[in-house]
Amino acid sequence: MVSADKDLQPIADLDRTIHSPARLMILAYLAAVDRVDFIFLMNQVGLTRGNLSSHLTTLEEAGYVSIQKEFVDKVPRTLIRLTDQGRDAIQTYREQMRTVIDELLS
Amino acid sequence: MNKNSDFEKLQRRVFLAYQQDGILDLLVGINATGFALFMLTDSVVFLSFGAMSAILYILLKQRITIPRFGYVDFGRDRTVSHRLTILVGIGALVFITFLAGAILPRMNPSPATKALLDQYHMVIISGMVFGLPCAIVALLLGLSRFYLYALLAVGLPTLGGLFGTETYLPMLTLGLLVTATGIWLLAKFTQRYPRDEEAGSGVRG
Repeated sequence: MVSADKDLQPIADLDRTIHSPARLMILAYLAAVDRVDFIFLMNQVGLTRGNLSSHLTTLEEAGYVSIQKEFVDKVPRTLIRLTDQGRDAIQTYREQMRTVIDELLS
Repeated sequence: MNKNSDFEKLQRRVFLAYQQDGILDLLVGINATGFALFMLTDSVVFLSFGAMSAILYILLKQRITIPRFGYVDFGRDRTVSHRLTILVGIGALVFITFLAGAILPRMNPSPATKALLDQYHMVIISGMVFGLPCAIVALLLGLSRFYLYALLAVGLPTLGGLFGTETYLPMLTLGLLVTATGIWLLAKFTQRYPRDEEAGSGVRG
């Protein structure tokens, strides 16, 4: 458990689903563009197929991303998009991080 | 406000990486080569290189870029506004070039002006048809090598005029140079992003 010190309380309140470097990177890419496929995220984030799949499942379960499967010329393609809930979560996370840093530096 | 405005820098980086496949260079290079061959042979068949290169662009993006780099939808705002600006810009330049070509000979220019136009007319044509569109692409998409192409599109015909070479030669040189750069970039791109047959299935695959 994080310290109960009032000044550090925002750290304890951070969204742990987002507060992971890999998931944060995934969400940042998804926030920058409209939608991407699995290969794109693998290339950009530098995760293995299994790791990326696991992080995406976590994000999908949190309702932050939506995952769709489609076939293009009989080849499967997994499309990932940031949901409105995911966008709000990133915004909240940014504000919380800013508060944490301001608190620590003030 | 654009919902993605906070991530504009990241979006721009992705967009630039997406254009490092050299396919846009191939499009420009093939067009310039076709134009040069048209000037050399007077055969309109070579003007069809334009349409062919557009089909090639789509095919290569679908068959090479997307399976390797991955699929990215940048959102309608960015895609449509860029395409529209480039199309309108290039259309306007081509129209101005043809209009200038039709009007200038009727203006009874002085012999000195006529001689100058005879010697350097390719600078104007190449600059308008290839130079300015390349500069627009460079400016809008942030692809700095297109500034170099724009410079070459003006510089090579100027040198050609100075040395009195055949008019098609500078254009052919430009076309081959840009095509070769495109092929080199494409080769580098395929090495950097090897095709992963299984990756497409992704989550819960």
